Amino acid sequence: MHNSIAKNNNPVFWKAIEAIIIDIIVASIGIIIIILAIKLLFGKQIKTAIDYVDVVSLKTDSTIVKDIKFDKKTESIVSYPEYGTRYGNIRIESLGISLPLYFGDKLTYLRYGVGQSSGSYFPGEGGSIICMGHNNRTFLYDLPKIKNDAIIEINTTYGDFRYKVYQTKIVDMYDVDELTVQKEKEILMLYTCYPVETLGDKKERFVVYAERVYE
Amino acid sequence: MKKVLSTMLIAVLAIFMLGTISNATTKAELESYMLSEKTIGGKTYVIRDTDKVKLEKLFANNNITDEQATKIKAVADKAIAFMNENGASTPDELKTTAQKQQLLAYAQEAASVLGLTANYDTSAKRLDLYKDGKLIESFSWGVLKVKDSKTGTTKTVVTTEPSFAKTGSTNYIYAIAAGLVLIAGTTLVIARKKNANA
Repeated sequence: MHNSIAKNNNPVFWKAIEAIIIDIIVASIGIIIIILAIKLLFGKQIKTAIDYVDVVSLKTDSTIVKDIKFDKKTESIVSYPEYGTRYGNIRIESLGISLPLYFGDKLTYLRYGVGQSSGSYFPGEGGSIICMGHNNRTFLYDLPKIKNDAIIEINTTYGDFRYKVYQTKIVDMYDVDELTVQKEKEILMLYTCYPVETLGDKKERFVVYAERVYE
Repeated sequence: MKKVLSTMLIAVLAIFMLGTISNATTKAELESYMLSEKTIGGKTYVIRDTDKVKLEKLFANNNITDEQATKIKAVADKAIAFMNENGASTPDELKTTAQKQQLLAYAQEAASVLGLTANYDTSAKRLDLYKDGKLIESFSWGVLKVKDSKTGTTKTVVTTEPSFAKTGSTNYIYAIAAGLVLIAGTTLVIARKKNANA
């Protein structure tokens, strides 16, 4: 009786609610059908895309920095870590950048911070160090703003190292020879995809070259 | 098919990196051999500087005995001879699945001498080496340094994309989620407006 009174009192209101609910249900069913159809037709590609997105999506890492033993006499790492080891932090004060540093350049590590190529030397070993990171705003988005003479710091458990920027370059992603690996001089090469403003895979890389500063 | 091709390429590279020649070999001889240029299937490959550093690390981290060095060298000899017999300078040039499987077997045999396991990442064109289940090194076969036999000059040949690590992907997941919310929200708004007009 109460309901019939309410309905009789405001039939338009309840009719509108009923219509909205029906429309939502119809829309939802429609979306579900479309999703199922897409999944049936493109399921494999979607999974590949989702896996890729998951790999490249940035995450916060709470792993502790691993202690790496360094032989000061031979200027070399005593026992090289496995891939994915977080062994320090990289900091560019002039750009407000401070990120964890990992050994290895796989995408799974780059989602947490800056990676170091295993085909390069460690800080302190006196050779080329190649590091890279994503170009989003919380990572290396501002890297192209870096100026010559800016200082890049790498802090590790076995020592702190400073590098002064002397050159920046925009290189094609196939120009691997632009990252020269040698052991005569300790040079840090830090790069990110370029240009930084657009989403998606980029054909160029912005590379910063910095020479170690000995104090 | 693609997987096998990649595996074969990795196997050749791994053996090229880890193998040596002739009979009894010391660790030092093995390292020297690995760093020297090799002619496989008519092409001369020069080791890239980044791979030199990787090999240095591998040797530093693994105490390779002369016996192990000899075994690895023997496997490398077999692999290189196999490639030459089949007229292939890279695993891509091997024609049959059986050939590619054989090359993979050589790579795994060489890795097992040091107690390592070899695996491949076909999408990244890379051979991954594991120790106790942990990735310790990775060699890419998508970038090779080839020496011109006539001029003696070397050229870096890139067959993988990208050569540099992908550093351009950012917060795609948020863009996709935002898109879905937008679609859902629009649907609801349209549904409600339709009701209002009814």
